[in-house]
Amino acid sequence: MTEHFSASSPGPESRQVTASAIKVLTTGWRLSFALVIIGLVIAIVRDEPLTGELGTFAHVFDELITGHSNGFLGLGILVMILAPIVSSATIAINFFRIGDRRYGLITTAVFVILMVSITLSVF
Amino acid sequence: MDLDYSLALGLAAALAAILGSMLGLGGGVFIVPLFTLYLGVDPKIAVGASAIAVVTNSVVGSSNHLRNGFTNIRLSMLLQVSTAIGAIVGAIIAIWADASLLKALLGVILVYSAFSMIRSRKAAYPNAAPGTPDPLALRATYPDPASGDEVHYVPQRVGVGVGVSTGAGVLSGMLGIGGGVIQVPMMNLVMRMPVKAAAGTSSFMVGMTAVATAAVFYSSGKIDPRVAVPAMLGVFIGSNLGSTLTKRLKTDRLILVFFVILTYLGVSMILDAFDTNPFG
Repeated sequence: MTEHFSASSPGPESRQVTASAIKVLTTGWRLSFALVIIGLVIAIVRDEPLTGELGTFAHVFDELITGHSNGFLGLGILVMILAPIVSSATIAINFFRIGDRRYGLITTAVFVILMVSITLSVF
Repeated sequence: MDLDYSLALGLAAALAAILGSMLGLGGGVFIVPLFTLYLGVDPKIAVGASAIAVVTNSVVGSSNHLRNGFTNIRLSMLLQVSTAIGAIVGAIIAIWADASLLKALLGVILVYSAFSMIRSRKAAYPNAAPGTPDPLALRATYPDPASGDEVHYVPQRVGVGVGVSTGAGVLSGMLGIGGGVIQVPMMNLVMRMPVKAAAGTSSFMVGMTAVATAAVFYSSGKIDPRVAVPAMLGVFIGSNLGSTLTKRLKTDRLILVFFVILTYLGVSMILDAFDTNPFG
C-alpha cells in the first residue's frame, strides 16, 4: 500500500510521528479483529451462545484463561478501546524524540486528560 | 438471537461506519437511532455498542486517513485538548442547563453550516503559498487522487478554531453528541481547511473522545456481545470502505453528502428540541 502520511507537516521527522501512529492503530485493529474472530469461531465450534453481558474485566480474564468465547471477545473489545490511548502516548513520545517539545507536551496533555476522564468516569 | 438479526445489526453498523469514516463524524449519530428505532435494541445497550463502534470506526478509518495524508496530527492534538476541557465543562453545566434550547441552537448551527459548505463548494481554497505564515507548524500537504493534485494548506485562524472547538466540546458534553459534527464544518469554514483534511483530522479525534464512554460501559460489564460484536464486524468493513470513498470522491461531491447529512441532523435536532421528531 502506498503511504503518503505527509499531513503532519512535510518534514521526514514528522513522518516518524505519523508512521508510529499508523503502526499502533493498524496493529490495534488487526489484533482486535483477530481476537473477535477467534471468539466467534470458539462459540460456533463449541456451540456456546454469546452472553447478554460481557461482565467485569476479572470475569472476562477468567473466561479467557479457560478458553471461552466470551474471554476472547472481551479482550478483542478491550484492545480496540486501548488503541487510541496507546497511540496518543506513542505520538507524544515520538514528538519528544524528534525534538518537537511543544507538540510533545500538547499530546501528553491529551493523554493525561484521557486517563483522568476515564479514571473519573469508571470510579 | 438469530443470524439474520446479527447480520442486520452488522449491516446497519457498516452503513453508519461508511458515512462516519467518510465524513469524520464517528458514526454514533447514525448507529443509536438505527439500532433503537429500527432494530429494537435497548437504548442503554445501543449507546454502549455505539461507543465501541465509534472507537472502532476511528481506529480503522484513521489508520487509512493517516496513510492517505488526510489527518493533521498536530492540529488534532491541539484541538483535542480544548475539546476535552470543553466536554468536561459541558458535562458539569448539563446538570443545570435546559438541553432543548441548546439542541435547537445546535440544530440551527448545523443547518447554517450545511448551507455555508454547499455555497462555497465550488470555490476550493487555493494552495497555501510557501511563505504563508505558520507560527504553530501546522502546514500540511497530501495528494488528492480524485483530482490528481497535490494539496498544500495551512490552517487559518487557529485561535478562533480552538475557541470554537472548546464550544463544540461544551455542547458535546451537554448534549452527549460526538464532536465531529461540529468540528468538520468548523475546520472547513473557520480554519479554511480542505474538507478531506477536516474529515481525516476529525475522524482521528472522535475516537479519543469516545474512549471514555466506551471505558465506562466496558468496566461496568454493560457491553452486550450479541450487539457489540456484529456492530464491530460491520464497522471493520464499513470504515475501510468509507475512508476509501473519502480518497476517491471529488471534494464537491463529498460536500454534497455533508450537506444532506448535516441538514438531516440539524433538522432532527430542532424537531427533537420541540419533541416533534418523527425519526425519534
